[in-house]
Amino acid sequence: MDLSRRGFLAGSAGAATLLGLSACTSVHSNSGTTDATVKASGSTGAKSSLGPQTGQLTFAFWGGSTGETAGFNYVKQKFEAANPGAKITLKVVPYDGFFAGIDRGIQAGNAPDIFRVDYTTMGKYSSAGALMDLTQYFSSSDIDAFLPALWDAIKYQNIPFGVPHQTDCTAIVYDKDAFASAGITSVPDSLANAWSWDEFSQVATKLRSALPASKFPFAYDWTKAGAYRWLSFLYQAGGSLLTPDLKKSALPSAAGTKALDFTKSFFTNKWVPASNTIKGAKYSDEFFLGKTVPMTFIGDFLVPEIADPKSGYKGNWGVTFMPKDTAAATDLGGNAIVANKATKNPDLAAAFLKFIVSEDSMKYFCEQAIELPTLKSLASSSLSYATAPDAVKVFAQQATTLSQTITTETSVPAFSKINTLLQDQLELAFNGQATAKTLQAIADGVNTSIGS
Amino acid sequence: MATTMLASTSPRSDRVMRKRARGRFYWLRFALALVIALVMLFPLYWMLLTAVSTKADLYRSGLHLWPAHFTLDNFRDPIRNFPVTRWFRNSLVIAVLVTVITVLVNLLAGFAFAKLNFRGKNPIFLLLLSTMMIPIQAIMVAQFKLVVKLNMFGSIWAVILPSSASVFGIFLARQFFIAIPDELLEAARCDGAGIFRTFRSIVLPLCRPLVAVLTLMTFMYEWNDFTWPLIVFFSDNQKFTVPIGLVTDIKGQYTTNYGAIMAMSLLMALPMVVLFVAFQKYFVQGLARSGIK
Amino acid sequence: MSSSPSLVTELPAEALQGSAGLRPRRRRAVTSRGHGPTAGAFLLPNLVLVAVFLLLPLVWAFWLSMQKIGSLGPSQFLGINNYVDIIRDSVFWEALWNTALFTLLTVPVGMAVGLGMAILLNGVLPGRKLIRSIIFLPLVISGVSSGLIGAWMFDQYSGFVNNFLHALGINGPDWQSNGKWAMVSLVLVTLWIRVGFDMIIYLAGLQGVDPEYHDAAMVDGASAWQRFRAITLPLLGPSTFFLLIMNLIYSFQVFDTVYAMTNGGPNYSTTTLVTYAYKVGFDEHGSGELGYAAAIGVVIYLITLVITALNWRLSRNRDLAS
Repeated sequence: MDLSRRGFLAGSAGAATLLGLSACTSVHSNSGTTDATVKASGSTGAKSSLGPQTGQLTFAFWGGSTGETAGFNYVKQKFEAANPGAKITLKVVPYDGFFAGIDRGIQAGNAPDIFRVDYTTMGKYSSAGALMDLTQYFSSSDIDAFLPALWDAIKYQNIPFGVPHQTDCTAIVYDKDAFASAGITSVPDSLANAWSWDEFSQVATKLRSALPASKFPFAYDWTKAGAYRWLSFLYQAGGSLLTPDLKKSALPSAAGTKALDFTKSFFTNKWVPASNTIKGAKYSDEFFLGKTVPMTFIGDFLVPEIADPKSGYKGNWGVTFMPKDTAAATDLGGNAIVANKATKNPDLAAAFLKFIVSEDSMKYFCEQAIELPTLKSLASSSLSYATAPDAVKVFAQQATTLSQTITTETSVPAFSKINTLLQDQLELAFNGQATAKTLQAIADGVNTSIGS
Repeated sequence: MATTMLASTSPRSDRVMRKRARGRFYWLRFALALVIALVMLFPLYWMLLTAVSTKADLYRSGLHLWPAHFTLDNFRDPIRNFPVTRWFRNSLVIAVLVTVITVLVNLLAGFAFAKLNFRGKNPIFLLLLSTMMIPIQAIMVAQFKLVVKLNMFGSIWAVILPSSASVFGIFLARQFFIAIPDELLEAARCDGAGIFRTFRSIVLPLCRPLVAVLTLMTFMYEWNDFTWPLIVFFSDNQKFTVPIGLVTDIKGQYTTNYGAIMAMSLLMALPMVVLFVAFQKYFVQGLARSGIK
Repeated sequence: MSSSPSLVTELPAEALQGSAGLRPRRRRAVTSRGHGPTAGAFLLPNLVLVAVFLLLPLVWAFWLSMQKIGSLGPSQFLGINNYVDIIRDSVFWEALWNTALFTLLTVPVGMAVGLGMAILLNGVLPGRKLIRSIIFLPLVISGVSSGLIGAWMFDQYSGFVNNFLHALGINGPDWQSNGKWAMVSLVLVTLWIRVGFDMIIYLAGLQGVDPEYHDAAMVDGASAWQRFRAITLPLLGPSTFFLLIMNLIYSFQVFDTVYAMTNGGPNYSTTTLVTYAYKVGFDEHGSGELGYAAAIGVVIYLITLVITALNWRLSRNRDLAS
């Protein structure tokens, strides 16, 4: 797999909103982020080789799979062994509400020293000046070890504010027997022959007629903060969310209309359960596990859950690619690990961050959690995944459909606000709001939050 | 058996009444009351039934009013995966402390309003009463900022102190104390007792039912309180109270497994049900105006 | 122990005294001296708590509502712009309408049902006390638990309600994905929680209705309905007034049940003003705008104030009329 791509234009992300004094009265609560202008602390790599550290750190992450927990525990133990006198306290927090808790902690001054943050939310914290600047801890050779697109995803105004820990992307998991009994004989086995939208629609139609009214052909993983995954359809249709200079919304567009009409038809055709909306309580993997759907779109980090011999999927399952239209696309999933600017032990925090993304730690983590690495050295070697290695191959191939546009747009500072907006507007659209109105509302909201 | 029919006719039973069919009417009312009781009780039965059923049984189609396979896994599993016992301890500590503080300050204030004369009595009373109308959501942002400024955010005091700022009990206490004859207090004063001693030795013993009612109500309210603790403890599940743990961790983990959710809800409701059953007589006494006629 | 006990928790003084709605204007003879310092000592703890944790935040809320405050802390003065935005915010209006609808559906129905139950259980019945306690029981269970029970019983795919309807040959509604039905389910659960409270207060009110009135009216040949209209209902005035205030405030501020049961969804169909304020200010999937949330909070407070003031006015007028 090859994730390497030219780094995108430095400094183009997150144009700061210039709020002149005279403009004060036109400021509203929902208008663009008042970005802190940041200046690098120290010179690049000044502290790139740290000796053993002592002290205490809390590291908060949301409860993922058992594989992830095992991966983080491994890092903790190894790090503590390498740094006698250092103690890392792991705090597992439920995903729902994780960032609300971090926000309150940052305001109250008791946030964890280290926490996990996805690339889509990263910009919110880096642009608010809440994260520790890592400039002096990474030499240029350290930086070169990462896939450039992902190193860029953790930068704000060209300063690194975290380490790219892993990536994941969405593909399709399906029940082979259900497909057979619905008369679907062939399933794409390579990116090149992934379903077109039309072929995908035929598959869904076949499933629909083969299934009882209480079951549905598939579920999509756009629940709650997954709303941005709707953009995969926009990219597949050849559209984009923002203009190339990232300063304005590129919606409404023909591609936007096409993508939204297509996804709205999932509901009108009863292809997805009525409660598989953005604000539904169930995630797409749960519909699949509960056998409400024989096919679901999920991120690779959920493969261990599906493959779990005890509580996993009861049935014969396989993995295939996202459908494609004029282009193939998936979403940039995955997480960075960042340090809180207010941490009392910056050197220790930096040492721990570096340790998390060292080759051995990352390899173990990704193998356990079925996720994709961010180091060039690991990307080119093949990892020995703990579960379902064949499934991971599909995800790894699917990850090559992450275009530069997708990576850059997903990591603009305002993206978490845009994601909230997408949640609200897509929910309305799936409940009947007109396509044109929705696209316009998204565009207006995007422009407001980018601050143009 | 003379059943004095008070205002115990509903329009619907009018016709029956006119027939003077007392006996039948009596049983009809009883039947109606029974149906109401069953309807009211049913959701609680459903909670219990769900809690002891296997997940597979919950999702069978059709109506099943009895567990097919009895299981306690729904209790075991969450307790093994989450610090449930800790949540109970947190809830208990917070509820007890809030109750002690609230009841004490409300009793004192209620007495002042009932039996003492001072300038500005009515305006102060109205002011306090008006704070009953402040919804926590109206001030939660400011309260959040306040506890952050006071350096309490995330500690139990960030919940205990704001929750103790309640005037709910003043209202009831005042009425209760008003019913105590002034002569009693005058007599005590003539015996040379100070106002505090009078309060402690004469007034308080007379209103044990009031204290019981206030304690019970405050404790119950605090045990079930949700909004404000949710804001304060949100990011640390070691600090959760039971309702927060229920809605975040338990509901988040067992989205589709209502067995576990109901089992934990049941555990949370149980102490309150037991308290209510045990202390009913205090409610009764609280009304029976404690023998002061 | 009297044989017709009633589990009263909080009562207007008038209900205790059984007077016909005249609030006792106690002009107690001024005793020989005031108790200023003593009273101060008695009041101080409560006053300090209330001042610091209720009144101060209330004033502060007005100030915060005029700022832009991100969820990470930086703030900026906006003047009245948050309020301008509220007026333009369609979700706010939807939440306001939902709150009004929810209140209109829960308060009168709950009180009527509670009154019916109180009248039913005021007479002699076997197991009367037990039945009363059962009706009261949902009130001691937390709003969170009740919300979760509701979410489960009204689950559109496997919940009891739809299974029950199915057994009767009715296709149950989409409780979760249809906004109107989601609101209905929320109202039903709220009624289940609240009728016990309404019943208890009315029972206490009925204790104050002297049977002799009814006997006299019966001699005059008044029908049961006439007696209810002419005697019972007016005498229950104070209880009704008290319940009205308590219920309006309760319905207006309901949060835990909604949060646990529907979390405001689908869309914003069951989002009330308070859940909206929470969502905007503190929720994971909200916008994290604390200043805007404070502004919504201020609006909530003002509306509560208006409702209460109206209630007082109405009750005063009633007093004067009687």
